[in-house]
Amino acid sequence: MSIINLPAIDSSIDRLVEIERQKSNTNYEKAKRRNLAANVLLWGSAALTLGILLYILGFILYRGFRSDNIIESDFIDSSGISVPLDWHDGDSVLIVNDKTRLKEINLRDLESLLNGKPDNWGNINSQDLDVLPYMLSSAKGEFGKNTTYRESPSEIVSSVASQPGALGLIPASFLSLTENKDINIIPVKMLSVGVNPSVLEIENNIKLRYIDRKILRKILRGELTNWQEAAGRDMPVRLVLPPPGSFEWDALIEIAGVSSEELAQSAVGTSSFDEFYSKINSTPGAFGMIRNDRAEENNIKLLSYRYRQTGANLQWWFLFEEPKRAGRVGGISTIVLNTIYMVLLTVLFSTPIGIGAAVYLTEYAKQGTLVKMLRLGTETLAGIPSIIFGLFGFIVFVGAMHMGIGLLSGTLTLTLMILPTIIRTSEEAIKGVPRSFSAGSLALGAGKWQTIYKVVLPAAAPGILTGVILAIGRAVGETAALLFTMGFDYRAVKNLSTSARVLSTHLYQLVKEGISFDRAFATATILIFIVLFVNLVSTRLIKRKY
Amino acid sequence: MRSKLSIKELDFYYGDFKALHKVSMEIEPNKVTALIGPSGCGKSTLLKTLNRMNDLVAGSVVDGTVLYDGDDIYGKYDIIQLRKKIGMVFQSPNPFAMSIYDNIAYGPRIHGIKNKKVLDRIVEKSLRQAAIWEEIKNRLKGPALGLSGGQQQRLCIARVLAVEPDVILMDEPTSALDPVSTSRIEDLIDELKKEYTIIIVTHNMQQAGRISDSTAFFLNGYLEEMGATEKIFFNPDSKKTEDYISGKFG
Ligand SMILES: Nc1ncnc2c1ncn2[C@@H]1O[C@H](COP(=O)(O)OP(=O)(O)OP(=O)(O)O)[C@@H](O)[C@H]1O
Ligand SMILES: [Mg+2]
Repeated sequence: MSIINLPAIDSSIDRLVEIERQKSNTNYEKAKRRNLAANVLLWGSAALTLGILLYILGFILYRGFRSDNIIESDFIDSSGISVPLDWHDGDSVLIVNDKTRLKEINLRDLESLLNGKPDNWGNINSQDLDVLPYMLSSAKGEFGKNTTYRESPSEIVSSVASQPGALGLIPASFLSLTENKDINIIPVKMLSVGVNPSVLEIENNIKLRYIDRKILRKILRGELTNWQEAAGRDMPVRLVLPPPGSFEWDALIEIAGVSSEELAQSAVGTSSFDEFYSKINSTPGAFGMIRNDRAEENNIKLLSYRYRQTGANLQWWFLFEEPKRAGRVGGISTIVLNTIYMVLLTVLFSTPIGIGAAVYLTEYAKQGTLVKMLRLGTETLAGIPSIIFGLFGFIVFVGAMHMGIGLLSGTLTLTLMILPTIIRTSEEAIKGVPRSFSAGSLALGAGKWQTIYKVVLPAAAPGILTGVILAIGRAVGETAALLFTMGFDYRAVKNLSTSARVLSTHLYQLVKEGISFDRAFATATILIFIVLFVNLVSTRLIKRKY
Repeated sequence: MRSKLSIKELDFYYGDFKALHKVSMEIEPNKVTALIGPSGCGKSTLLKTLNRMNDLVAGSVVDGTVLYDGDDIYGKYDIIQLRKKIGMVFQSPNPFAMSIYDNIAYGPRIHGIKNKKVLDRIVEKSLRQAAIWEEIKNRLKGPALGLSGGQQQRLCIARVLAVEPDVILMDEPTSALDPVSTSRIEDLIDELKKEYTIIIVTHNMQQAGRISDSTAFFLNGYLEEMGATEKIFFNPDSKKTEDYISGKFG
């Protein structure tokens, strides 16, 4: 029994209420489903973003620390320690001083080093060192001017051990007698893929450009019988075998990974090198593994070999060596130094001005139209593309103010660029300081400036610092604004008007001039670590505050 | 006895709004004067006219005189000297984002004291006076904002004491504190009145009864009644005062 007696006319409304309630129950189910869908969407996009971020960062760091390149070369990626060179009787071994960063070398590079062209390691391993070859005196006169001849292998070993950049060839038989920590034994790549000229002819717009290890092995084992299967023309593959027992023979067996009986059935055997080379040149579709230095004299056409080369990329030396030859050689020490100068100067210029402006805007200026316009102005400036700042810096600082392209023009341009950020974040930080702080200070008899300087700014410091760090992050990575204002000299700056290359512009040059992706990624990695370091240090600083 | 502060026919305006109407009162030295009254009646406003903190409010106008030891504080009085002499403790503790030591040394430093030994002495003395020395003497270099609310408020009192004031204004100093901290501050006030003149705003009738010597009751910007605390509490002249004290409104 209801206590309140509603008029009868309302019962229809009651029914309506009942119906709506029921509906709302099904609505509830619908809402639940919608909720789920929204959740899935949100989580999905969050996971996607995170995934992409990690992928990018991971990719850059991976390429920074590991060089991983596809190489097309005349040489097969298999090398031997003892190599049958004509300069000695029997096999030879290449030794270099262990200050020389070298893991392996190919025969052509080795020959040019021994001939004294180039006389610097730069082109071989991007190390700025003089090449100092040592040979046995039995080879006297065969090599370049800078080669020194020694009577015995042990003299070569001790000479090589004592000079960075030294290399020498000693008989392999002597090696077991040598134990010296200051020398490294370097494997030499000697073999190339020689083919009959017919293999390289164009047919139906198709020309065989290269083979890789997989194809090479298939050919050796007889699993690939037509060049078509290796993306070449329609022509049977004829494997020509070197004389059994030769260096080439042993290498071939090793690469094939099978015993000599299991080599390709159709293989053509030879008993002498003359026969070997002439068979390759006379048999259509012929293929043979030959020593690179014999190709020219025997008129053999070489086929490119493609392989993946991996190894360590970024190492400590890269940070501490001076760059040479536009960054092809050496490390990036001076560039890191220039970057640090640039950041310090930019912070020096922009922080006082930025904080001063923020203090003026929040504490002194009458909050009216003028301040609103100023604020709009700074916000607009913050959104302008940096290249336009660069253009402005070029016209005003470099040109009109006669500062020239250099550190000062560059940092002033950067200062203009990051000032809006610093002003905005400092303003927010100052506004975030409780009014009770300044009230407390003023009530103790402090003046307005004293209060701002001693109470408000220190309390706002973490926020201001965050802004400055954001700005440093931008400055460190900025390229466009520096292109026309700071220059590209990779030596350490001497004064404010020296042209200076920094990490970002170095990266730009490395990629633009196609110098080296490995170096570009190594530089990028350093850049990332600098930003990370700045962030870490600053969070420490912020935490130490009260 | 001569008044420490004498307020004569004081009008105060926030722009067009008149917050105080012809308030006149005498504050005796070395006494605790409590200001009571319902919210919005102008207690804080009156307090802030005494150290001229109201000057900071844009559009505020003061009319009338406030004499401090016989000098008109709205005349040629140096505002820094005034605030040094008449210190203020705020409703919620507001230590600066600095160490405990620097908080206390802040006042003396801005008034020109640089000598480390002198500062050390002042810091210790002020903290002792504020009855907090024993608790925090080992963490003077620690952050002030790491203290409890009650400790923070006593720190703020010590900070005021460090500039050697004459009068201390307190605007509801215990409203944000727990009962234990509150009673410690009340004990402290009792101790301090030997050396200082104290004016305290409070919403807590028992507190006013416990610690004050005289009480002023405000209503709608008017000083309704002022007198010895016992008289105001047990035998007020005004009916409104009686109603307020007995909790009929407010
Ligand atoms: N800055 C200001 N601008 C304008 N009006 C103000 C300002 N500060 C206070 N008022 C007004 O003046 C009147 C008195 O305020 P006051 O802060 O002195 O009251 P109170 O007695 O301290 O109240 P409470 O007990 O709530 O603290 C109130 O009506 C308030 O709205
Ligand atoms: Mg108040």
